[in-house]
Amino acid sequence: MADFIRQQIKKPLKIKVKSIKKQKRKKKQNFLDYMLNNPITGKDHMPGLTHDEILYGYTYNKKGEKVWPKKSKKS
Amino acid sequence: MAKKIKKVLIDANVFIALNWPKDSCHIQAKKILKNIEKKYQLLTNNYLVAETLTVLLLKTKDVEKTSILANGFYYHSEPFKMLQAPKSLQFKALKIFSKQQKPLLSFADCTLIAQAIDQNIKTIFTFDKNIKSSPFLKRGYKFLG
Repeated sequence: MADFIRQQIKKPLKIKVKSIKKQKRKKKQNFLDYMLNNPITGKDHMPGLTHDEILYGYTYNKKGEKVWPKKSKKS
Repeated sequence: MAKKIKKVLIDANVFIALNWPKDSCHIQAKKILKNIEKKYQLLTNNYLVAETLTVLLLKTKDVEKTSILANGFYYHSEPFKMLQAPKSLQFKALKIFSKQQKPLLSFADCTLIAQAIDQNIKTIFTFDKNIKSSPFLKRGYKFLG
């Protein structure tokens, strides 16, 4: 009888321990950590251009005038 | 875990700086994000993510890494919560876009301003001077970056 009771207590405990261990193994990936640790390296294919110049071809100065990017000399 | 009450809206140029080490604001972006990550709920929207991914793809020509980033935004709701801009927000952005006196704000910038006003987000993380000095964000806004 005592053995039976012990078994009945152990069973759910075992299951719980297993699930906790599984959870610990499956560590949640943090997207920010990924971003911080894996920046994109390599050649800059649009050197010297601002984001606006890349997206729209031109940018605006403080006065609201269109400013075109300076042409770079081709080698 | 304690619920983060403070909210911060993150602009595309922050994500670009964070992922592109050659960007002049890379170190600053990293430092500020590390500081605010635990205190603030980090918000953005799909227009800003689209801008980020496009600029990074054109700059790097690295489809693989840019795709990983795109997947991160779509499949990880933490730490960046990306709002899919509803029509109501798009119309508010359109209003801002049409009302600007000088052509300084892109439509994506306008969605950021509209989201800040709409969701009452008083802290904005951007490196864009035009957003910081925008007349649409006059009262009580705090800018990081």
